[in-house]
Amino acid sequence: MTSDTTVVRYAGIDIGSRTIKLVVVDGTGAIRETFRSDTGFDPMATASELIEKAAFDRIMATGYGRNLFELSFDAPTVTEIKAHARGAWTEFPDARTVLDIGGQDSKAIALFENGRVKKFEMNDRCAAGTGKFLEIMAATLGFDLENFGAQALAAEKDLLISSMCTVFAESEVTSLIAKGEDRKEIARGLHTSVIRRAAGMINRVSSDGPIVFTGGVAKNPCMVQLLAGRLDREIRIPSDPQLAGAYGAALLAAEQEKNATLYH
Amino acid sequence: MEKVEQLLPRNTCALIKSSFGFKIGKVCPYLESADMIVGENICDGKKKAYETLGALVDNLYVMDLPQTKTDQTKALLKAEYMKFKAAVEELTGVTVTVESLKAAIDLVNAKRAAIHRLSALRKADPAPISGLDALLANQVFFYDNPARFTESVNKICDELETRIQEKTGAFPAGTPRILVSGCPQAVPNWKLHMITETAGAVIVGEESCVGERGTRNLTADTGTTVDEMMDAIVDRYFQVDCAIFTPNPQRLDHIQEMATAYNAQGVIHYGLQFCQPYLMESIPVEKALEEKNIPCLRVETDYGMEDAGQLKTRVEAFIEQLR
Repeated sequence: MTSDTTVVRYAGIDIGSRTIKLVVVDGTGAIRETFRSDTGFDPMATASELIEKAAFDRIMATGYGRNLFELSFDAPTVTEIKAHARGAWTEFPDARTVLDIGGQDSKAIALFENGRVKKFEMNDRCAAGTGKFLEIMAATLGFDLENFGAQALAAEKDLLISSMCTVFAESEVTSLIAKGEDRKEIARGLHTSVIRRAAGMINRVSSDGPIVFTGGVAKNPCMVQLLAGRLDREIRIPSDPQLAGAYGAALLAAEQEKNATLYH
Repeated sequence: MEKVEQLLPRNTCALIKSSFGFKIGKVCPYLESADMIVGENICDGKKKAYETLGALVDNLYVMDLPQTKTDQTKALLKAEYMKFKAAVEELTGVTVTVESLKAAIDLVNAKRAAIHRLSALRKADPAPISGLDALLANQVFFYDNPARFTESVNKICDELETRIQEKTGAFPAGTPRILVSGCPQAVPNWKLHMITETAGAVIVGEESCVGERGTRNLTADTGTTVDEMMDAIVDRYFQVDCAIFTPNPQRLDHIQEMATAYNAQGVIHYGLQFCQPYLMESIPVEKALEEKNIPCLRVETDYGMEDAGQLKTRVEAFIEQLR
């Protein structure tokens, strides 16, 4: 677990509902190692496996499992909002808006110039409009999640999907299939419905400038294209959008240590 | 809850559903032993719920309340209060006199003054009392014997003064300070305070009808006749800036005054799901606070715990924003 070099290394672990991500940076903030694994039913066991593989001196946890991690590993925590903001801002320092769509939640964040969080909106309660929604809909339509976005992009038009609730939307999709509608068009309609909701959240926190799109859903090309079209704003995707939260947490771990040293 | 939802739509605010739960579960001794249950037409939800409650009890008295502040509505409220006075006189066989009404006004004003004292002590850093405990005192305000309540709160205040002198707080000095504004949090609703204060902040005030909005104004004790005293009670009611009033600009000013007075770094706007008046006002409240560079987090929740995880994440992120 401890790095044997003289360079101090900082890790960030993002324990999401679907995937656990681990990023290790050095004192300059450069990424040294990355790991990811499905969360599964025992997130702490998965987290243990990941941290065994990585070499680092300090770790900070984020994501919905952060509090459990804090109890198990006595590590400091940060919310996924601050972690994604920091990860996104570090890669795109002129960004003032971040959209993160993860496995079970989504958030829009407005930033100050120095990368601090100015304001945020987050979905509440259910997984409507998140990665989980897309995953279930892909399965209903018989697409692989990896190809879901590309297939939706290939559709010639949108079919209107009005339900945002996963359960209701699934019935809606089933009835569209029964009507003989094209499954690519249904897929496109589902993507559009998620983007409508995300755009609403973004508009409540910021009205112009580029948007950094993070989280696993940013890997979906249809989501990126629809978002850009709907808001008429530039969309920037980090080199690995799924790691933005873990990367931010690693940077914050480094920063926290610097501050602690300053105070001593 | 299932039994309540046989009587009320699911999309009814938790405060109203909870009051029905008290009745159906026979949880509240006051409801069971009261000779008269008074309902007020505050919002649409309560107004219609009383029609249903009326079928469950035989002693419900419903009072109409105005929703605008004009001379005409003041006259309406006065008429409602006079009618209520007559109903109480008939029920008890006791006539309200200058002396008895003055004594009652003094009794309730003393209770409010004790809460003012408690609120003022919450301005100290470190906060001498947790928001959760202070909220509980504000909740007990509604149902304890008034004289005993005043005495108890003053005792708490004596202890808090000692704590302030010794600089011992419920949380360390420098803990982020938050003002809560919005829907009333009635017993057994401690959810937001519990989540916020276990996430690393302290709640230093409630801009709420269970809190400063409800208690900040005293009834003027200048009346010399029963009629003048009733006018004073009406006047006090008209100073309350509850969201059921339209328009309600004073509330925006009061939230900002409270944020400054209590040295709060941020405001959490607390809205109960399906409570239209407060949910609607939450948007102008947030805008007004943003213009003053006071961070604001709008939450919309109910009494259930299924959203506790996400609520905690939001509140924690908001606290990170304040640090």
